[in-house]
Order: sequence, then C-alpha cells, then structure tokens
Amino acid sequence: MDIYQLLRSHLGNALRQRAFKSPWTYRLLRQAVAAQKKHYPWQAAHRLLLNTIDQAAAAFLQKGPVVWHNVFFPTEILYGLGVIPFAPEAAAVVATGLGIARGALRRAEGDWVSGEACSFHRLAHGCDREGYFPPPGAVVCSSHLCDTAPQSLETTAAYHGVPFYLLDVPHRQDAGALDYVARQLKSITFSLAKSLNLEWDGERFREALVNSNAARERLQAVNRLRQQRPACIRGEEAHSFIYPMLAGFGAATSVEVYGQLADELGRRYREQHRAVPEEKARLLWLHLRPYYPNAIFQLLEREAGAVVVFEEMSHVYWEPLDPEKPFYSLARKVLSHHGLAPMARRVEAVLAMVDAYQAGGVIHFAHWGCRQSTAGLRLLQDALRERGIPFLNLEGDCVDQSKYAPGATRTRLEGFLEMLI
Amino acid sequence: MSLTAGVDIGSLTTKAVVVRDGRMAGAAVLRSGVDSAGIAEKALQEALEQAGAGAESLDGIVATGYGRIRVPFAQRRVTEITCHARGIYHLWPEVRTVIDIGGQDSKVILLDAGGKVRDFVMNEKCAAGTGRFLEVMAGALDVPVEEMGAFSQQAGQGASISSMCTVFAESEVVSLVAEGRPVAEIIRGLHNAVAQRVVAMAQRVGWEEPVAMTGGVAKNPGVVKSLEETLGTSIRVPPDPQIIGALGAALLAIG
Repeated sequence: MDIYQLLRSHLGNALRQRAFKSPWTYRLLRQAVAAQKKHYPWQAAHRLLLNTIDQAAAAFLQKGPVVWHNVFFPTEILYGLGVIPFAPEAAAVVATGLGIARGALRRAEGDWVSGEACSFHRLAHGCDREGYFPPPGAVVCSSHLCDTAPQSLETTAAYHGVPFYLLDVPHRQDAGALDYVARQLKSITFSLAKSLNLEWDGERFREALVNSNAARERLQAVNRLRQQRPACIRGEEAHSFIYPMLAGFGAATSVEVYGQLADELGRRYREQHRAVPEEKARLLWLHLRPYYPNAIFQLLEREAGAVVVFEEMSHVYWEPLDPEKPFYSLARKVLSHHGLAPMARRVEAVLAMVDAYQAGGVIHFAHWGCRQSTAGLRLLQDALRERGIPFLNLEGDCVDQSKYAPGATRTRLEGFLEMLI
Repeated sequence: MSLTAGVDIGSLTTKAVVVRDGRMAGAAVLRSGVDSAGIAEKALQEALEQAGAGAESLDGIVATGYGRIRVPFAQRRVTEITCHARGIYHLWPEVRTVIDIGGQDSKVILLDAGGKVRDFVMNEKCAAGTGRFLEVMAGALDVPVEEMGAFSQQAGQGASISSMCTVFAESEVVSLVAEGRPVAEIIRGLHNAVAQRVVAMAQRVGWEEPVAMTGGVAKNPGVVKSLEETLGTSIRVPPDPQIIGALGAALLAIG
C-alpha cells in the first residue's frame, strides 16, 4: 500500500482541512510510514517521504514563518534564512495523490481561474482557498520558465495580505543579466528578513549554499550511475526524487536523500540488479509526468521493457555555488537553466542527455498549461530526427485527471514502442 | 500455404480481413457495439466465409484498433498506426505518408522505404475532425453521411466553419441552415475545416509525397478533395480504405 492509499484509508472521508492542522496527523503519519520502512524498495524514497512529512508538519503547524515559493525560485535563500519553504506546485501533486484535486479544481473554476491556465496553479489556488494549504507569511516567485506562476502567486499573496517578491529573470545570460538577478536576489533576501522579523545568520546562509553543493554533487553521482546499462532503477521510481530539485536545495535533508540514493544505486549496480528483467529500450523523459493513477510507466517499463533511464528534471544544469558570493552564484544558477531561452539551449541539453544516458527514444510530456515547454518542439523534433532518435510528444495534464484518456494514451505509447522495439 | 486474419475494432465499425498467401481473400465490416468480442468474432466469421475457410485453418490473428485489447482470440495486438502503415505498404510500397481518419481519431503516419513507421502524430484532446464529427454534422443537416461527399462537390465554395468543437460546430451549422446557406456549401465548409486540421498535423510530422488515405472518412470524396487542395498534392485512396488497418493486421500475423 503506498502512502496515499494509506492516508485515504486512514482518513477516508474525514480528510478535512483541520486534519492538516493537527500535530496528531503528522505523528500518526510518521509512525505509519516509519513502520513500513522495510517495504520500501528504495530506502532513499522512505527517507525522502519522512523528510517531506516533517517539512509539511512544520508548515501546517506554523512552526516558523512559512514562505511560499514557485519551484524555480532558488530555495537556498529560504533555507539560508531559516524560514519554512512551501512550494504550492509540489503540494498540488500531493493533493492529486490524496484525491482532493477534483474539488479544489472546481473551486478554482468557481473563482474565475481560467481552465486554460496551468492546472498546477489552478489546483494550488483551489487547495489554498479551500483551506488545505498553510497560509504564507510571504510569497516569492521567479519569472523564468513558468508563465503562470507570477500572476497566480501574486494573487495568492494579495489574498492573504502578505508581501510578494518577484525575481525578474531576463532571457539573456550576459554580465548585465547576472548583475541584475544577483541584485534582486540580495534585495529579496533582506526584504524577506525584514518583513518577517528574521534574525540574520550569516553562517546559516552559508551552510545552505554548502548543502546545495553537497546535494548537487550527490545527485551527479546518482546521474552517473543511471548512465550505465542495464538500468538499475525504473523511471517511475526515480521520478519521485525530483522533489528536492524543486523544493529542497539548500536543506541538509536533500544531501542525505541523494547520498543514500547514490549508495543504493551503486550497490545495485555492483549486484547487477536490473530495473526490468529485459531492457528492450532506453527512454529519456522530458518535462514532468502525470501524478494521478495512470498506466503510462506500467506500460512502458513493466509491460514493454522500455526503461525511462533519465528525466529532464533531474538534470544538473548549473555549476557549484560559491558560498563566498552567494547572490552571484545563485543568479548564475538561475540563469544557467537549459530551459531558459533561446530554445537551442534546451535542444543542446536534451541531445547531451540522449548521449549520456544512451537513450534510444525521447518522450516529451506536454502538460497543457505549460506554454513554455511546447513552443519550441519543432526544433527539438528536428534535432532528434536528424540523430535518428524517435520522439513522442505526449499531450496531457499532470494533475487534472479529467484530461486523461487511457485508451488514446495507450495507443500513442504502443505506437511509439512499435517504432522503437 | 498461409492463412491469417486481422481484426480492427474501431469506435464506429469493426473490420476483419483474411489473407491467404499474402493476398486478401475475404473482408467484413460491421457496426461496433457494446459486445466488442462478439462483433469481432462475427466479422471474422464473415471474412472467413468469403475466403472459403474455417477458423481452425488460421495460422495467426492480430487485433488492432481502439478495441484491440478486447479480442480474446487474437495472438497479438498491434496498434492501428503500425497496421495502417503495413496495409498501405502492401498496396503501394512507394507511399511515404498515410492519413488515416477514423471514427474517433485522425492520424498522420510517415513511412520509410521498408514500410516501417518513421513517425506519427494523432489528434489531441477531442474527436474534432474525425468520422464522428462528420457523422454529427450529417445528422444536423439531415443528410446521410455517405452522401456528404457527393453533396459537397456540388458547391462552388465552402461556408466558413470557425469552430472545430463538435458541439459548437453543430450549432454553427444549424445557424448557417437558418440563414439559408445551401447545404452543399455547408458540407464543403465542414470538409475544408477537417482538412485544415489534418493538414496541420501532417505539417507537424513533416509529410512527404506520395500520400495515401485510409479509414472510413477516406470513402468521402469531398474530404479527400479538400485535403488534396489544402496539401497541394494528389492523394491515393484504396478501393476499400476502411479495411486497411485490418489488412495490415492480417499481414503482420503472417509472422
């Protein structure tokens, strides 16, 4: 039984907003998860879950100032300030797993949030207004990669009457852009500290950057292991480890999780433990995946033996940070993202991933709300075709299950596999 | 001697083809229904009767189409993408692009010189631009769907249909009728709208000549003409385009 099933079975229809605000929920949940330790095929996943429960408990029980951030904002700043980061897009994924998405999406629709807008943000809006999310003390947001986030989060900040800080990231990556982003990061950091009455702790801030570097190093070790063949971890399993990439850099817990994952992977490679009995194809997965129950990975990996050997979201795109120059380092990290224009950068990064992970095919999950990830697909398709790499653009939605058509999805995947295998 | 069969369960029709020594020996098309397996069996039986053979003499059966998982007597299941490609390759090995418009989806398939699928693209989100779309419009116009092609060829120009949503397009059609627009022009406008949508898909996949069309909608010469005009090339249509998926499945069953 996975943790979501466990939650639903224990809380059932009583899953109400107040359950999230009770310390008993987290105590019971932690105990239940801890008791299941040996059933987890990856102990790193178990550790990640416990860490996530602790972080959720801190946010929902308001153990300190809660700062909402979008998943592209550099969280090192938040961990460095000692606040409790809360990523509404990531929480929307949990809401999907808990089965509360439908009602929350309906609430968002009733609040005039366009059905064409990104469902992560629609769902976050609905969950927040329904009282499922912890109220923020402040909201920070980066403008790059996600078009919906700045508007959605600014509205949320206004709704709660808390400060909103936007990190405006330009599309160019020159010295001027670096300076521009670094100055904003510094300003946001000290404005947050002031508005939340935080005591500045230079050592803690430095430690967040050191943690970030350590997590990066361990993630790179994980990724190097995943380049080997045959694969020792299925893409479905590996996908859960992108959470620290979106909300955990700067935390010591992310160092532990990636470190443990690297150890476990290393051991499985030494023991020649295969992800699937017969690896018939190796796939690269671009963008995110659907988080409601679906048969996509079951079909690809378990039925067809086509292993998703790497997912774009786990790509380490930035250089190590310099703790002596925190804001410039973080600005460089933000500007290094391969998804930031021009499209040629993403194409180049994807081709490098194809080579590094020996992928024979690429699946791009085109989440309907993500305009930024679909506009340049022609260039990506052409570049992959030139290299003879089959490409499937799989249209769908990551969190809105009403958009999932199992039969149509199966036909597209099987048609793609018939080209590959 | 080899005798194989292909069964294609689509959303509107179920097709069966029997192939003897690589040549088509029998075919049947039945309306799909709730009992997919029963209808598939009946279609296969009819195709076998035409071929003068019994089920016991079949060397292999491949199921395809939306309902391929509901054919218990098939040895293999292959998507309609691969089956349409295989069927067309059998008829015209030089074809490089197949446009297949069926009851609930449309697809454009690129083939290589060996008949293998190089790439494909399918319609997204809804049934706009498919056989079901045309069927609903035929109902709104009170014209038999099989006569839409002949009707549209009487029109000098097509009416402008702006929506591809089946529900909105239906109300648009009703409004055009109320305005007194000739039915032939409305039908031609619908065919043009379908063609524009499918050609956008063809461009996405990078279509190449020669082009062939399969699926039930290929029986509508009006849609084929609109597609030819929009693409700027001629399109080959097999004598019975509806059974090409089943034909491909039967050929794939050979081994």
